Amino acid sequence: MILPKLAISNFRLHKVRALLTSLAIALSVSLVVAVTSGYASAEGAAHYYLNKYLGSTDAQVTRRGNQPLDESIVTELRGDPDVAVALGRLESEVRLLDRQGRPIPGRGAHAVGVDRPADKGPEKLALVAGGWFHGDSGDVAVIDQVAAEVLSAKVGDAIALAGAAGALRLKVVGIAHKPGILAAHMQTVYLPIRTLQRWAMPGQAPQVTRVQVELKSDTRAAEFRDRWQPRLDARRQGETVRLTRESRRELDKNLQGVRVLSYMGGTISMLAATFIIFSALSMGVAERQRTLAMLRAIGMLRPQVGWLVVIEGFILALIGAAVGVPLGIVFVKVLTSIPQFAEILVAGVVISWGGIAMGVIGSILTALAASVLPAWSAMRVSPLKAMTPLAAAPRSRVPWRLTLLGLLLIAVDTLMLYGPIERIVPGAWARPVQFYGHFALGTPCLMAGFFLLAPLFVRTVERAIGPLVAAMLGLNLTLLRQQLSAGLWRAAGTCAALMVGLAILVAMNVQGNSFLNGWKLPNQFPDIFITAPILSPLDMAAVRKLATTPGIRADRTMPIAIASPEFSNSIFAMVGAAVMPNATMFFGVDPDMAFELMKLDFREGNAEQAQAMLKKGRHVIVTEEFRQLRGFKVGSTLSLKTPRHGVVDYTVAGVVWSPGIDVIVSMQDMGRQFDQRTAASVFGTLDDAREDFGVERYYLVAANLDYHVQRAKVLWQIEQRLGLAGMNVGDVREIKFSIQRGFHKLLLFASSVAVAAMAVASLGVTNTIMASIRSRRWTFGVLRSIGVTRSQLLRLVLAEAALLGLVGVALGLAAGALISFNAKAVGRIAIGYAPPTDVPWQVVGFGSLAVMVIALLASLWPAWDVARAEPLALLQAGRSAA
Amino acid sequence: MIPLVVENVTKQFRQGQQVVDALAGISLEVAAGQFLAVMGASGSGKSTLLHLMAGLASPDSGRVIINEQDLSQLNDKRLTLFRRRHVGLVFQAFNLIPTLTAEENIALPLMLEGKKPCEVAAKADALLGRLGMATRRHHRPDAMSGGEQQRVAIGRALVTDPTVILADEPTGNLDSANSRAVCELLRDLCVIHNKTIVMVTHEPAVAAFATEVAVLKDGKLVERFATEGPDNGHGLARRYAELVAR
Repeated sequence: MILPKLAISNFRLHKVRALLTSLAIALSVSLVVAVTSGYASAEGAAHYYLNKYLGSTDAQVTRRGNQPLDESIVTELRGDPDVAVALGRLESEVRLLDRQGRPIPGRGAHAVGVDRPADKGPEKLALVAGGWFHGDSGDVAVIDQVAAEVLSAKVGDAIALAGAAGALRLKVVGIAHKPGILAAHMQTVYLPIRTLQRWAMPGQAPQVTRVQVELKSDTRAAEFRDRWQPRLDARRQGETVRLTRESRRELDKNLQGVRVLSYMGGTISMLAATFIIFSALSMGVAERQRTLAMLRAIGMLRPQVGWLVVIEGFILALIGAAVGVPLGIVFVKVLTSIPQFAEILVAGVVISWGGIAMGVIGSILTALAASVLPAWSAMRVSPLKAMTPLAAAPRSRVPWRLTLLGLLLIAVDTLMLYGPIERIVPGAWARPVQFYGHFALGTPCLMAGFFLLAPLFVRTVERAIGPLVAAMLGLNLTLLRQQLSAGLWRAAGTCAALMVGLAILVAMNVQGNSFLNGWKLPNQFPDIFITAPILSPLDMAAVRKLATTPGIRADRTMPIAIASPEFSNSIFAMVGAAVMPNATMFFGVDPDMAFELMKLDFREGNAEQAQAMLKKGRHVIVTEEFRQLRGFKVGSTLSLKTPRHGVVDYTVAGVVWSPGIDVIVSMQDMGRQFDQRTAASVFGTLDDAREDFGVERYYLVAANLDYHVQRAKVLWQIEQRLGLAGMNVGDVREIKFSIQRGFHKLLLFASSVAVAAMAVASLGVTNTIMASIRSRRWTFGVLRSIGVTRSQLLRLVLAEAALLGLVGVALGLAAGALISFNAKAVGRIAIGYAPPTDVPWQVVGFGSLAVMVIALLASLWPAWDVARAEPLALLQAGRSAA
Repeated sequence: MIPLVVENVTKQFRQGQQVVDALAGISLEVAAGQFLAVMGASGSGKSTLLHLMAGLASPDSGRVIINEQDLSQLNDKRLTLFRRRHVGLVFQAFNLIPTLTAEENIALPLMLEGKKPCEVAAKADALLGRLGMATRRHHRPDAMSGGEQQRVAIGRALVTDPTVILADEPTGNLDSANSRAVCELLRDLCVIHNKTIVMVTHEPAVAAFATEVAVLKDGKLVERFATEGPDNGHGLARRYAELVAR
């Protein structure tokens, strides 16, 4: 029991240090708990909504891309003896009209045609006012609260939807409540299914977009699916039956990635805490040389001395975890008490026990890892030191052997990612080893390596920049000399903690920026892309009609056929890191018009050649990403699975920089047309799209506009001309801007992890500065006695903090640069594509500045404290410490 | 059995390019119940000799034998355990743990040994009484005078009932009154409790409390003689001065 007693007695002696270190651990544990519990709460909410909307439904039948399917399928399903209930729904995007009959600007609304009262699903939504309609027809509607607000409608009021055969006027009979964010994103209008069918698809046989199936209790869902899927396949309509549990599994699978990310975010702050614990323990060992020597002299064994340090780390970790776990839960509780979040996190606070376990176990492991070097150092304390009345001056030599080890550790990740790993690991395992090895081994080794390099950085920065800092603060260099290297490891630990946040910030933003700026639009590109509603794709006659709309340049209008073929072999089914889907987007264009409208940036081949080859048929132009993925060249063969002719070989006619049409498709919500996420885009001809993929109607039309034409007006005219509602028009530049803005927001959000790590590190800086001051109180007392002013003393301490910050910046930038370089290889392994590096210098500058500011702010209090102390007090404190 | 035997020990130190003979073949024996003061000028090798006796450093040649155990035969672990059980160390700077009470500081070696708390408490209690510190048992070092701190340090050295007590300038940080009190305590330990003590000092007035004095000069033992008691400090000082000046 003596070791814990001694450990606790040491904390009593350095209360503030123990407090700050525990606080750093608590903060990092609380971040782990808060982030993981936050995600768990979001996950809980996702499951809540899934249950709410799917309810007792066992399976759903839909068609690829939510396209409508004949309602007869509902009758067929009802005829199945295993089916208890089969209900069809028709869903469509519509445009809401205001009281003056003008379309409400924005994205439009989601119209859901339901068969009431048989379909009880909508009843799960809480009604704010009114009630649900009964029957499958009638001009009535239940709208959500945001739609009611947008339209200023109450129960009993009339609202109108824009449509081909004129506006559909509906009487509001009820107002339902949807989660605010969902409702704000897209408003919903529930109306009787027959009403919607007649209005949205006039003159056509009744159709639905979804059939919800409830099975009899003794029926096995899998058997039902196995029986029905072949029947649906035989209809060749792209219909699929999907079990609810599969949807849940899919949701779980999608959430799994986010969950892993939440854990990784927590790990980063724990890494910063590791270095702070290391720094605190190192200080303890450095300051207690005499005490440790005495303990050795009176009979404490080396392992006991080592354990003493480990136990100190362990106790700090336990305190940190004990405070951090409830603190993390409080963070999430506070989050859920904010109305906007409370509405989303409907399942309440879901405590992530995995997160808590990670926080607690992680903090203990962190403390153990951080205590290794200080414990080793403590074990080496000679008992002879106890016999010397004055403590020897600390050694400030760079530990070259550890520096060399650091360099080796740093090289591990780079060698693993760029080295000839295939020679060591069998082919199929090479990429998974690289991918997982990067996270499990490479990155930790890299961080540990830079930490071991920290003493070298400290000495270098101190020598190279120390004079400059001294000059800037008006200090004599003699006073500043060896300020940091006097406590080399203590400074190294703190600088390493500062490094973590900056390195992550730099790496994240370099990667993000590179991906974002990798997408460059061609100089010449269509002015707009017009998308047709899902229920009403355009045939060639409609396209021609569209082209003659005033404002549209008829000679610069081109329909684009979209198909979703699969590769003939699943080359991307890489073990573990199979993040790349095995589908692509096939865009069919008119070769002549396409080259008029777009001036593509050819990376291989040229426009003339490619145009000629496309015209021959069964040729495609592929994107640069695609080339990197599959290593294609002009003339390579690409085998695609087509619905009409099975596997068809296409020849690559050219490689271009991605023109971004696929992004337009995704942004315009046409991604719903694809069951699978797509890997990359290929461009063929309209004829091939028709012949091989059966695409005869078009969702996308590219066009150029006359000068000085208002896009909204043109769209309105097109809708009037074609008698269609729910068309959209997009400008690539605008979309690109909006994507970039969104992505920047996402990056900013992700960067909060790095900022959190910096906040944790700030506690380490305060600790180090305080320890540094403590060890030099006698010296400061002497300096003050011989005439050094308070201001000079203050500046002296701030100079030390500035040097700490500079070392942190140097380490962070070096580590960030290397992580970014390695991440490029990881990107190539994971998604097969690595865009050219584009460094966001502003973020790098901001991060570096943030580290400097943190270092200076964290040192202000101890600096001020020592500066205002009386010389005699400093001398007395210094003497009693000696 | 002779508790402490030093046989022809030598020790060299390197100072830059120069090799310094800290000890140049010293032999001495300290009998049970003897209180030996080792004196010498600065650099004479007295502290080095004490370090070798404590097993804190190893001689280049020769042997140190305590309780019939040649220290050079022990590895680090066994040497540490031997020191814990058979050697009591008293330091010039007391080296008490500032956050432990007097009682806890005294009990430290027993706690390291893993003794039962009741046994530890009983021994510490007895020592506090013997040292006249019973009323200060719950005080921490910063609440004690230098003399009291050194008494506690002596208590810590005594708690394992060691074969020898080695004291390195135990009065170096004390005023004259406290110095005298500590010296009397050490003498009582020797005379009343038959403890074997070796004390390094450069002060004749302190050495006068010992039963014998060994004078070192340039790493060699120049003379060893019996003292005439604490009241004859001046005589000892004269003799010491003569020996050093010779």
